[in-house]
Amino acid sequence: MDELPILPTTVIGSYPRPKWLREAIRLYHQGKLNEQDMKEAFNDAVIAVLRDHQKAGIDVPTDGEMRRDEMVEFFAERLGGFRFYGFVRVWGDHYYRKPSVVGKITYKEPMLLEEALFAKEASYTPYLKVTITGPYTIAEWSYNEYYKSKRDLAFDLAKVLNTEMKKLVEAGIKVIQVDEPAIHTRKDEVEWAVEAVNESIKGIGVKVVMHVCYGEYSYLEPYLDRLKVDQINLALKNYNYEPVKLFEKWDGEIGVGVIDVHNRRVESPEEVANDLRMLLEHFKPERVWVNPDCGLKLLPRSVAFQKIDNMVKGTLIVREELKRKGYTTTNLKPLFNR
Amino acid sequence: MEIYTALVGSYPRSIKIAKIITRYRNGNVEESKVIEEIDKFQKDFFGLMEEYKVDYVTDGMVEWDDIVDLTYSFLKGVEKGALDRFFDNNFYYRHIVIKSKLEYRESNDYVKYMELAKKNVMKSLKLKAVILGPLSFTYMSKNVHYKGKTEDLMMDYSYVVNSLLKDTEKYYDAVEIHEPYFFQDRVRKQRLENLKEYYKTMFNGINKEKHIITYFNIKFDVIDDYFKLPVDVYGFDVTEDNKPMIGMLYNISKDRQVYFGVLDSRNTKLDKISTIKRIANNAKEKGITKLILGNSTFNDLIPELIVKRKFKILQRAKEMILNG
Repeated sequence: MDELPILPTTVIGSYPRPKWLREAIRLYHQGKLNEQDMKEAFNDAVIAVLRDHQKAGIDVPTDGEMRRDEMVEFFAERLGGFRFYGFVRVWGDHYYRKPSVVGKITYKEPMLLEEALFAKEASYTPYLKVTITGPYTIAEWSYNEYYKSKRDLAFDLAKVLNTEMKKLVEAGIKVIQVDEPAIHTRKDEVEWAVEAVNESIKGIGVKVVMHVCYGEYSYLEPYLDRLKVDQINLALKNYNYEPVKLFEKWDGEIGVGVIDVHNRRVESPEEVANDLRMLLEHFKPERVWVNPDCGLKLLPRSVAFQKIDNMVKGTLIVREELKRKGYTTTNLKPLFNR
Repeated sequence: MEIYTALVGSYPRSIKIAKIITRYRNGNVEESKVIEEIDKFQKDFFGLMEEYKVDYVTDGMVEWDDIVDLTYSFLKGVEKGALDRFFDNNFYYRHIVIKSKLEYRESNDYVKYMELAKKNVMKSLKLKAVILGPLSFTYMSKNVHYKGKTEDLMMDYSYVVNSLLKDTEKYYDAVEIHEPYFFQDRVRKQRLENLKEYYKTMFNGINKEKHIITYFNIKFDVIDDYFKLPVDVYGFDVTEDNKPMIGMLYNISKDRQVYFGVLDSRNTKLDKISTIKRIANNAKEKGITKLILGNSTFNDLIPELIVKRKFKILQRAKEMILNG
């Protein structure tokens, strides 16, 4: 049976791209680096990220999403039905190519398989996590020119994402995370957004996590019992853990965000340990995973590393305390039959 | 019925300008480099607006990160806070943290950029000064200093805006006040009823056209309070879910001057000339005295290419309406 230590540590997904990779991407876009060299650079970057995760002691790492410029753009580029008109600003000097849906969504070819297989081979642990953007978030963060409703769009997206997830399971991936940072954007849409997520994970027999961050968590709370994911991981540190109570009734596992990714201040191991002790007053230890609030890609790499390093150190302090109470391991078995 | 077109709020800020502003803020380039880029942008932008025969324009707002950032330039007693979501959009602004009594910052960047815009704008275009309204400012800031005394906060803010509008009056032809919170559910009716007093303070001694702009929502139960605000033009977003409400808007807007945001600034789908024409014809039939047509909200929310296409459509629609 796949076992992990109690309070497994993980990351949300993205990790800062090494400077040399950013330079390689720039050269590639200028036509000064060929396809093969670019691919090699991405692979080397994944190895570097996994090494950072290993050094910090992360139990369930990712490949840092080195190949992805942006979480919606990446999938829209690889699916049928999307078109790009240009960049739009998200804030300040941060932009992304927000896609427009101009036709029926179709699955063309595997989107994550190659990167997942490489990361799996390079990984120091079989418990690698692969992240995939969820159907509601892709629909919400795209312009809909084609579908009658956003709901229709989201459910077609759920079908193609389900195809992709099944390929990841066949490839031996043991943890899949569906990223849904937009799921709680609109109160009146959360109910069917949850159904769309369930549709996307139908038949997925490995551990399925859903990532939610920043926004009105109370919109999601009434529909928690309908979600068929095994775990929800959340940004909590940034909110000083105020939303914790909303999730007390959640039956599944909870990934607690104990690292603020919007702040360069590095949390100390003691701070992480204290936060975890407080969180364990709300959730059973065997249900808790430990993670940062969100992806780390916007932080300098050195800060990102220090943060996850201290996150693990803080977790180890509490893990020792739990061991004395008889908690030693948790397992990867899915909680739901999907 | 008089009919005009307008660009409301922002024009998409180029990545190049965004990077230069960041480099300036980090101390890596001189301010003159930023001014040079904004100056170049404004010349191109106003040229484009003239080509599309737009009547009312802002300066494109590319010097500001967002509508809240703009207020930071002329306020004393505030700091920039964390990122907040701009309503239900995938767009974020830094809220303002009010640390002490709000006061007017003399010789501020807002004045400087209005002066620059006045230098660059063509005579055929009416330049608007963009301001965040006192109600929305209250909801888009974090009030540390005033605590429960929100009324004092709104009044002090209105006094500051009045000073700014007086300082810049020679540069603009109209004032564009953004009040997206007016039609939000969370705002108490009593607060909306009192808002006209702050508007009187804000516009005291200002003898220019005043346009109020709202977006995303319309609430008919508070529309009487909206029409009591001392402005000349009342703005409504008539795209997306608001489309079915336009019939009621015609009926209550008789003998008024209104702005209809008919270009959907949240979707790349191009708006139909026939729809815009129909709206204008209905407005005329129902007795609206002056109709201004333009974008529904900030143009940052769609790519520049689409903004251009939409304004081209608006130009054609206006020509067809004027030619009967």
